[in-house]
Amino acid sequence: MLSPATIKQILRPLISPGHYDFWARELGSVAAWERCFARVVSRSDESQDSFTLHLRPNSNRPAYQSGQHINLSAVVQGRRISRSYSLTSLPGERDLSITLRREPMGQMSNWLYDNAMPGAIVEIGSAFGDMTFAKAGVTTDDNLLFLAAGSGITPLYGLIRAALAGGHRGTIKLLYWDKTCDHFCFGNELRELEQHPQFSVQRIATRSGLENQNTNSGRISEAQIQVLAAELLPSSPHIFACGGADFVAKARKVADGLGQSRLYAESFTANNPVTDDSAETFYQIELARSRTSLEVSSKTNLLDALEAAGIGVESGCRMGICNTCSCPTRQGSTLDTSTGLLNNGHSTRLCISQARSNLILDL
Amino acid sequence: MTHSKALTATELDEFGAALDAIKQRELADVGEADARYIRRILKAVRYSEMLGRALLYIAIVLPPLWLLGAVILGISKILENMELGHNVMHGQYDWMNDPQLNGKNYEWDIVGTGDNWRKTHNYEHHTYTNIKGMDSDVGYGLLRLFPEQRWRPFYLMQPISAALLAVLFQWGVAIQDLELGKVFSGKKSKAEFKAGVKPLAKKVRTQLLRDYLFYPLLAGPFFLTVFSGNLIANLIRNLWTYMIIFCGHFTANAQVFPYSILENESRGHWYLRQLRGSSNLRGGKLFHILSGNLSHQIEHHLFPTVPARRYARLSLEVRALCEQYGQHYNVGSLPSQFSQVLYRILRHSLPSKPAPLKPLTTLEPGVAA
Ligand SMILES: Cc1cc2nc3c(=O)[nH]c(=O)nc-3n(C[C@H](O)[C@H](O)[C@H](O)COP(=O)(O)OP(=O)(O)OC[C@H]3O[C@@H](n4cnc5c(N)ncnc54)[C@H](O)[C@@H]3O)c2cc1C
Ligand code: FES
Repeated sequence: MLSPATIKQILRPLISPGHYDFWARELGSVAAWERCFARVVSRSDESQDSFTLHLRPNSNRPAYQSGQHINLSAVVQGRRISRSYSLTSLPGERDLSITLRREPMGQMSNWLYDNAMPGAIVEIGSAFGDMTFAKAGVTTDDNLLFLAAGSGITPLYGLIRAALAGGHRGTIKLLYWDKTCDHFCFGNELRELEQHPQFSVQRIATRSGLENQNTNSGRISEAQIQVLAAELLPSSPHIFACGGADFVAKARKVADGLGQSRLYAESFTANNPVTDDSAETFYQIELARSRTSLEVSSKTNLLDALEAAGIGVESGCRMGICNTCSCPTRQGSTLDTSTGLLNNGHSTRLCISQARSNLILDL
Repeated sequence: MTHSKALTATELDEFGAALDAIKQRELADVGEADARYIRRILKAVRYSEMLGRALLYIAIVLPPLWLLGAVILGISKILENMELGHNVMHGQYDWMNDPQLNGKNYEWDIVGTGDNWRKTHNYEHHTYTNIKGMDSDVGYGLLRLFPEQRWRPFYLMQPISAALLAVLFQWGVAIQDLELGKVFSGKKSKAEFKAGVKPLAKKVRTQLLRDYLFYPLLAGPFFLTVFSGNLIANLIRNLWTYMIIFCGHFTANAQVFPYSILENESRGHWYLRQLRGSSNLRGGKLFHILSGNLSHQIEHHLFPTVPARRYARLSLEVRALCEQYGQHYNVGSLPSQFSQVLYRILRHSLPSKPAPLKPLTTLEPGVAA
């Protein structure tokens, strides 16, 4: 068999990458010149509203570390849209795994639920994210505390799997909040991992009346995190937290209260966007490459505004962390809503930026 | 000459607003059906190219298939250049967010680069349509098609140069942005010229090597069978695109405008200028597709970012609107429109005098409404 690289070498002068991808697909392959397409090889229900997909990528598979995320793209009603998902597979495994929660009215999660059957094809971008053991400087003897809320479990589950597979010796605790016991993911897998004596899980159902004997209950509060963490706390742990922005903010306060511990956190929703009290203003945006212009409100994120105007822009996480939507800016200033700072620089992450002057974007 | 009414300021505003409303409505409605359509076109392009090329190889043992192969490959290139490439590069399908169909980096099967086209065509030609000195499509720097262009003895050769441009049309398009005329007259610097040549040379190399070296080499000793087939295919494409494009702006009733008309030009006036400078072709569905829907040149110029498959339907509405506002809607069959183009080419190779410019609106000086 010829390797894909050799085939590409031979074909290069004859056809373009677009041709290559087209014919590969027509011949039933996910091979591509440089894009990474993956086929769903299997799927399973994970909980009441979550499901897991195992994806087999073509030879352009992204390199990644546990705790990182990828942008997944699919064509939904004629438009290619992208959303971020955390990888729960181990970097050495052949397939990539992700677990998704169906969001009511959510475009991508529902489309995948209905269409991502074995054989279906999706596209995958490169991996990103800072919540990794390497960045945290974790060594095998360190104690680890994981705080997960809802679908925030996914990257943490990936990290826990990686730690235990890598022979981690320090204590590992997982505190895991979700609505009811029917919502918890990775039931069997976590139970199996608990065979490792250094690892234990504590589940907390946040909606009362539905808990069973293995779960605590009650809404997430700082005090509750504090108590549970203190109860379970291995000495001077690295803390990893993932969930909604509110949850991560609470976890951060708790970690601060614990003194010498180190927190690495990521949220799946944007931080409460900065709201300034300035009145709504309209600005002119010139798209230099497409030579068009449009008017946008100072209260709308540029990504939303461009999409609403029918202008397709690459995006992924839509919360300022993957940099996919980053766009060279020739002129003008924007407000970075994640920090509240004005940006007069040469690039703008459209998903978290609002216009604060007329702009010229390299789009 | 057909008469169009000079519009009053209010009429002009209403006319513009009505067209704006149509555009907004169509852009808000783009979706799955448009996506399915352009993917089907892409598929047709790829399969017909494959078939055409395959037939040229089969022709090695079955020579009569050679012509069929060349024609199918030619049609494939036409479809790719017109309905796919041209429309995609206008950004009509950018909302799909598909990297293959993205207007900003699409590269088409022609020696000219997509980037040059985006500048000379999308920007200059569509913004300054038929404005002398701004829209280099007016004569392609080679022909005198309107009496408003100054006559020079060079234009006596026009019947020959026009025929040459038709045969080599892809090259005409390719070098359009190099502005050789300006380089010779010193209005454009050597450095600017060189910067323009570089990406073009790269594209030309890729195209020439593909059609005239690598694919023919695959045929071994039958190199020339494939070489000549590709040559004919490119020729067919050149002639067809030349014909369609010339019918779009150079028919008898098409107007050119002086630069001064741009002063404080309103939206309505812009629309009106697009209308007066463009002409449509009548034909069946397949004809419209093979012309990249440029047979609906008027609608294309009014709504260049609306997916072209919608033009046929919109033409009914636009036509009714033109009637309402007393504007001539220039449409004819291909033979009728193209003979008008040929007449222009011949007539204006000789000295000719412009008729006084008919005002578009009652606001313009020298009005006799
Ligand atoms: C770094 C990162 C990692 C992530 N990892 C995971 C993961 O591992 N697993 C996971 O499940 N998710 C993960 N997410 C979230 C994921 O990217 C998506 O945001 C999520 O799947 C929802 O996408 P969607 O297209 O289904 O919803 P969207 O269509 O984007 O909608 C988002 C929300 O808005 C609401 N909404 C949308 N339209 C309307 C409307 N018209 N009216 C009212 N409400 C509306 C929806 O109900 C939904 O709750 C991650 C996000 C980030 C940023
Ligand atoms: S979409 Fe990820 S940074 Fe904007």
